[in-house]
Amino acid sequence: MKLSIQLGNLVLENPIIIASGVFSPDSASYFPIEAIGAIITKTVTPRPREGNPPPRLLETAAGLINSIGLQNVGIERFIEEELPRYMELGVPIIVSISGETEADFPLMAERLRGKGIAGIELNLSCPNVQRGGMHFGRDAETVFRIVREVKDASSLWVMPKLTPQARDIVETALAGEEGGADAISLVNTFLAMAIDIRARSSRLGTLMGGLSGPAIKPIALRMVYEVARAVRIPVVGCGGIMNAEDALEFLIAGASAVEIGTACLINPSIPAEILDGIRKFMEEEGIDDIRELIGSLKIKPLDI
Amino acid sequence: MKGSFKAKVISKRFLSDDVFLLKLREPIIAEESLPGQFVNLRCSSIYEPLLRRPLSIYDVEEDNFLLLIRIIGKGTKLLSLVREGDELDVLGPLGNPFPYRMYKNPLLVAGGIGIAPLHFLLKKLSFPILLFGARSKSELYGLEDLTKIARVIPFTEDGSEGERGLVTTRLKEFLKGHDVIFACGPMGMLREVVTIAKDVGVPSYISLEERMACGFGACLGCAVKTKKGYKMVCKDGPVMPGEEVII
Repeated sequence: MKLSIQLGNLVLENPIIIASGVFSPDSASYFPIEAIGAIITKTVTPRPREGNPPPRLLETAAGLINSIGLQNVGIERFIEEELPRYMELGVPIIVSISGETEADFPLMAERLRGKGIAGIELNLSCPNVQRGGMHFGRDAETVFRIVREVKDASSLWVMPKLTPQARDIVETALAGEEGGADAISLVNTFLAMAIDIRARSSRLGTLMGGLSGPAIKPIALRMVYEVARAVRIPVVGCGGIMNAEDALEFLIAGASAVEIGTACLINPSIPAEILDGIRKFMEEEGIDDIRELIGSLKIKPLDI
Repeated sequence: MKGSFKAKVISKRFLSDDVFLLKLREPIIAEESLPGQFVNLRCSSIYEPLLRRPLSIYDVEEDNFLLLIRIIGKGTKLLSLVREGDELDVLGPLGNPFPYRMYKNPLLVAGGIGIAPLHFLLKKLSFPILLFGARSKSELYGLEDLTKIARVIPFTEDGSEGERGLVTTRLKEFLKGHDVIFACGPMGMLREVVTIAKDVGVPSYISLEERMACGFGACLGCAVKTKKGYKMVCKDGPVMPGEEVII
């Protein structure tokens, strides 16, 4: 049975990728490393960030709102202290990067050259300080420029992670492709709120956070389908995948691989369970190569 | 790999309308747990509620461990409905314990349901003093059993048991001769405990609570502000030095 997939020139043993933000080298012993196709690091920024004030989490109906605030040690300490520990795991490591300005992205990509990483994921769901805090990923032009500058600054494999807050998700994906992206991942969390009705204030330490979990899955799936249909580069699907059936839906919709985020926080052994479930499904369906499943959605004439 | 365990429900006993003691069988958790540590358990086999619930370990008996649980929302409500023989998905033991071996004569301070981690700690000490406060007698959970393993001084706000008033009212007095405070309870109580401990110049360790997801230090969700920046309740705590926490 062939589970290996290809994202441009990046070959993964299987399509299960750990999404950014749910894994740390310190917690590696909780994860079934041998069942993981690739790991995306927590997002790194040019300078250290202390993160947002608590509470940083709120459980909602079938979902989780988080406002962690990209807490991280900054790129220099990351390269020195954390990256070597990721690299020891023997799994392809994709480094998630973000910045405060467009220029931060290529500078960070340059710092990551020659470190043996599998590639870079661009976290575009963060405020652009120079443009009044508007998220980089809102605007297709900006996504195009950032991807191109990162590609120019490094020869690394690059995958922008699209935000569902994009004005037009398909246009944004096409802009990423045109900028030279090797793959596209989507979606990041949905901007969300929750209000304490007695205190008349946000139930999080910040006004808004990002919603993830099963609540967003159907919308994420629709977006992945629309993007996969429009671009020629591989798409990595993400958003509320909790089990093998969910992962299979994304593959059938056109994703070449999937990112597992929130589910890992509840059950860190889930990557192995999802992979087993995919294997079992392929056996039942008599499918020998997982690539046969990718984009295999049948569309009735009326649907178009 | 440190996976989660399937722990079998051995018994469930209600101590009041909304507080119950759950006994679960899992030899490895029972063997490895230390006072102050917690487990993170799923409340249902589906993802509703989505997250696990972090709960302090109340006690360990042979292959079993016990949790003292107050029903405060739908997760704990579901847990209150489990039956003998059911299996629960448990991750743990997690977090750092009370550093009880470093001190000779600790004073323990508990507020209400905050007794949970201190009960386990009491059993590792030889008949220590426990100041145990609550709003009223019915919230002094397990008081009778506690008197068998500790010198318990109860306080209630309504005077229905022990001294009337807050558990911290006479803390300074009781602190004489002790070299550390171990405390767990509501934030207001912990704040007062830390302030008094600082005044007297005695170290304090407090067990904290914060909304939590993974429980093993990956998501950075359960942040608490300290003098050294944000720390995570799950991994840097739940027991933290009182003087470091900004509460």
